[in-house]
Amino acid sequence: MPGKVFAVVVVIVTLAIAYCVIAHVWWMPVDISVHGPNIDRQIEETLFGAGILFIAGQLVLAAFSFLYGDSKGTRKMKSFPGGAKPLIIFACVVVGIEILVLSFVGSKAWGSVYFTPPDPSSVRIDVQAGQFAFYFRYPGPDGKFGPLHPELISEGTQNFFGLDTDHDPDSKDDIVTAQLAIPVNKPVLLTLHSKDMGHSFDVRELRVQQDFVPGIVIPIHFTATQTGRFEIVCTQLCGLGHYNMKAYIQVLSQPDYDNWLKQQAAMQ
Amino acid sequence: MHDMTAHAAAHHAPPQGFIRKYVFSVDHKVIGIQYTTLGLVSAFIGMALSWAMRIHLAWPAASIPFLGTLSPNGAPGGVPTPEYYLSLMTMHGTIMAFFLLTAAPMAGYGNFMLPIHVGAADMAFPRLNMASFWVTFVGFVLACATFFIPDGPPLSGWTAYAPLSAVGPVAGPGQGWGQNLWGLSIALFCVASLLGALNFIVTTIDLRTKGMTLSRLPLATWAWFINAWVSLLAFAVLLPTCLLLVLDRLGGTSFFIPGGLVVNDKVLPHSGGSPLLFQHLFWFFGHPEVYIIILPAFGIVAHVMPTFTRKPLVGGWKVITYAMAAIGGLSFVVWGHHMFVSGMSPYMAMVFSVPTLIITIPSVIAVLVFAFSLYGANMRFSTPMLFCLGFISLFISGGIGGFFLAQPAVDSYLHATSFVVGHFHFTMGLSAVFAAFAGFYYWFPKMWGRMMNETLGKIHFWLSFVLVYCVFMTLHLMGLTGSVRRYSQFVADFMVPLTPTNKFITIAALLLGATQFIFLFNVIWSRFKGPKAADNPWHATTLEWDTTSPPPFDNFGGRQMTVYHGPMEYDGDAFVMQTSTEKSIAGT
Amino acid sequence: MDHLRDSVPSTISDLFRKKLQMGFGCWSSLLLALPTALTSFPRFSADRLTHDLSWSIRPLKFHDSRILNEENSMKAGYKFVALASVLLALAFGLLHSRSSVSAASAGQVTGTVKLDGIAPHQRGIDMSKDPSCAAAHKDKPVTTENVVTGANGGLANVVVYVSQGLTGNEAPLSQPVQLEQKGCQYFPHVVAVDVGQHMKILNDDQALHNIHPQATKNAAWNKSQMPGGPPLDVTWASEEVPVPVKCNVHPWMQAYIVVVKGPYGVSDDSGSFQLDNLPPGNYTLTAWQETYGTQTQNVTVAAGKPTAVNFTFKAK
Repeated sequence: MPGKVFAVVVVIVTLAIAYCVIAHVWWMPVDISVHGPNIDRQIEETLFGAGILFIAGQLVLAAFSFLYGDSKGTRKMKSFPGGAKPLIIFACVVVGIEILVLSFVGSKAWGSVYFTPPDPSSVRIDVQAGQFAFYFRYPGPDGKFGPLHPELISEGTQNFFGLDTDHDPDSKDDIVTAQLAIPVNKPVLLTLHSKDMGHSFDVRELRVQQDFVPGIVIPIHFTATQTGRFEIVCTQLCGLGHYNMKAYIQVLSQPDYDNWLKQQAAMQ
Repeated sequence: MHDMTAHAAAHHAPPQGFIRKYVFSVDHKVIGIQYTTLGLVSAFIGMALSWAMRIHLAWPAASIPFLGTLSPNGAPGGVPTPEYYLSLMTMHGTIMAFFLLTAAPMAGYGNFMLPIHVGAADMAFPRLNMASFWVTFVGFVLACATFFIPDGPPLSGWTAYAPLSAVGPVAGPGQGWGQNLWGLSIALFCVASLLGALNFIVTTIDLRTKGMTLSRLPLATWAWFINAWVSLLAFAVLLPTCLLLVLDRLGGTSFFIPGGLVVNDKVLPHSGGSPLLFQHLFWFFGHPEVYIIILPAFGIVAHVMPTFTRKPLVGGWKVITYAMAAIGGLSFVVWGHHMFVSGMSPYMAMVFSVPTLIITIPSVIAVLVFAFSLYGANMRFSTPMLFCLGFISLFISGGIGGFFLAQPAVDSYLHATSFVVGHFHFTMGLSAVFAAFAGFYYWFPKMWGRMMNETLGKIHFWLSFVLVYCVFMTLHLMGLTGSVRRYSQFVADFMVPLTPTNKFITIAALLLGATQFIFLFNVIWSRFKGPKAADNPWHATTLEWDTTSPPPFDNFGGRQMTVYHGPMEYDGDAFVMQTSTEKSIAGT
Repeated sequence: MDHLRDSVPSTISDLFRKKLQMGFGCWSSLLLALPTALTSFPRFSADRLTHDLSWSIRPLKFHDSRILNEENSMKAGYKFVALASVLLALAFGLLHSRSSVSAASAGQVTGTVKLDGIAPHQRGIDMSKDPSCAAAHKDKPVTTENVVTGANGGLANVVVYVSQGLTGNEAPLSQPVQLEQKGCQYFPHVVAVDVGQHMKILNDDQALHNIHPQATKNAAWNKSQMPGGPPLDVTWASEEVPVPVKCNVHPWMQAYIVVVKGPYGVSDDSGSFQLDNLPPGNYTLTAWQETYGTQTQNVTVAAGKPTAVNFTFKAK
């Protein structure tokens, strides 16, 4: 009797989970990047393949619990025909194929983000994460980023990057902002560095997530395909303000982006 | 006659006096119970911390009972500050992962049962065994002490990533002396685990009684033996990592801290270190650690299930043992899958992804062996068996999440979301704990000489099984939205709509916690008032059932145990004990 | 190895120092007198206390006549100690009682601080990372406040205090000062406070703040304050000019706490400041501004009529 109850419970749980996934009760947000569809396809294929294994496994468990309770001597004991061999073959072959497919196809998705070099005409933006905010730096008309001087960082006077505008000519036209704005349909190259702890740059809609590692500069690049305002959240534990550490990214049309940049330059 | 058990038995006579018998005892059975009790206490402390966390997530302004008294600074008026929430989370992870999951199924049950399983009178090094427990205990005290110091517990997570954990109090509240105590606590835990692992390995190799060939070892013993090797190699890396971390904090070194860091407008004096080095060192330990947690679970289920299915496992001892060994070995080459987006080379991501996917093969084989061993059986649904069935279902659920996280491209979306939290709770917190429950209900009669109450056990199982799915599968699936983990509140724009989901999870979690008190009551009641247990109440075959409940001081009352069969001689009601001279009935 | 010093638990040393520096006045007398006085009463014998404590450590011997005898002989001794400590306490209290200046003999210093030159450009603050902060400033944009000038070149947020000439008997002002977090900014931007004077810190925002005074002479601390949370009540043990205050959650937030001894004044937008309750005498006044540093002037204060002192800082 308990076996039958267990079987029913497992089936109900499995169906509930399957429903939640298929009906997208909790689901990914809209995808607004060029490489995003690769990742989404990967997730959906994995959900399909792993989902089948999941449902099959739970249903087999439920079936056996249902069927093979103590018969009090009325049913002879049986062994699974073939013993472990069919199970091992199944595991190696089916799971093996699934692994190969996921690895090879998945490497394309990964490669589209990390193994392709950035477009030389990318908009370049320097991103700094520090307890507990993100700040962004545009190179300005000269196209060059000025050098960073950590000892000059003074947040109270808005010198978040530690720029020496008096002595470094490249810094003079750098535009420092608290929001990230990028033009739509144009490749963007971000260089990430951290002021203090580990942080992470995560924009769900862009399907971009990359940790900031103190001591190194990490480039990531992508192209956004839709305009809108999205959240950048920190996903690497960095202290008490981690849960509230975020900034907004705006994807703007080219004219809007140019206007925005002009406004920000005027506020420097 | 070659008598190996005489080696251990001759070394110590029965102890006299309360302290030598129950406190500083070299008897592996007492030490096993001490570890198991430590695990039980840790479980409730860890759970209480999780209740505080869950209440705060669902109702951020709520005053949590006792929290204001525990820490007026950390939780003024009972409402945890963001840093205190993170401290609760850190200690929840630390206490659960180390002092419950690593200690109880391996050092708890293993210490009690392994010498008996191999037919020995005690472990190979009884005094070292005693030292292992007490060093673990001191580590536990240090970990708990972090709650009572002014700076409070550390907040950098059980993973303690540098530089947050390494730069010292300048990193903010929650990064004071608590982190130092944490590092010392874990370092002591490492030392104890290394010594324990040595004991397990030598005992299994050297102290097997006559006839106990490796092919006749009970499967739980195989799991503990394989696990001891994995522990030896993994904890050997965590120990120096903790010490290097403490050196960075107190000794002015910069192993993990690069130059040019600015906190509060001041440049830190360190230079030359690498945060990624910490991650590599930690996860080189950390990934084998999660297999250290799950392998005893496999072993317990493999040991307990045949008793209740009344037939051997599919594939005999070999398939499941080779699967466990493969998992143990492969666990050392997959650690980089925790670091796909960490700034590690993207080429390394592919290098780690492939073995991570490959490790699913022996895991799937193990699950298939368990599931298909039910085929054609005549299952007795006692509480241990129910928990074994629960284990199989939960491990399938948890293992499936691994397919996603093993792929770097998918992980780049799911990293640091509650998908990961769901995945590791299923595999570690649920599967391993259900297996531990199975072992607890199974071995309780042998350890205490009394039976646990079956009705309470079944209520415990049914409530727990349904509620764990409610709590953790919801958390798992919620991760698909990208909801971020380790947030003390859900204030991000896209996370605010998840508040009803949060409340559901919290209510289920509190109910789940309340259910565990049924188990605790059952344990304490049965310890004193349970019906007396026979020597072999489950009609099982392994050596522990061929002695009294509880066993005498030297385990077998002076008898020389000779083994003639493997551990799975079951055929329905009939069974042949390992020490019986009768003919084999199941060909193992 | 500065971080080593920081790792000493700050709240314990803070508490201890606070108690010491409040003086050996009535507080220590109470601490000394009360328990010893109480212990001479039969119900609260110290021996009974230790008796009860030791009960939890080892098995209690119920019928130990030695303990009863010790109780009787100890009673007389405790009575003597109680009396002695009360007398001692009175003596301490009298010795260290603080003097306060009576209104009739109080002097006053008033004046103006001016900026000579053009104030540096104050940059706009973008608060978009926290929508509740940004919403508070939808209509009026916010700028930094490193140099705030008003009408007629007045320089605001300059703290004028007495750096030399105080007798050391000044009691801290009893009225607490207030530091408010509103709209994700600190009000006031510069707040002066006496050693030992209470400071109330309030969070009037919907956002979490953490108050992080970066003190070097005082004990450094860092506390978070939830929206709607209770105000913090802090005091400062040592003079420190200044203590920069930071909120890590909102990096643009900055304030300065200037901990001084004796009367002080902070200049408003027109540059005017006023120091009250200064006993007549010769003093050196120091004016501190966060960007331009300090300037000093000597002044003689007479009773009855206010003394005028002006400061001028040169813009860089």
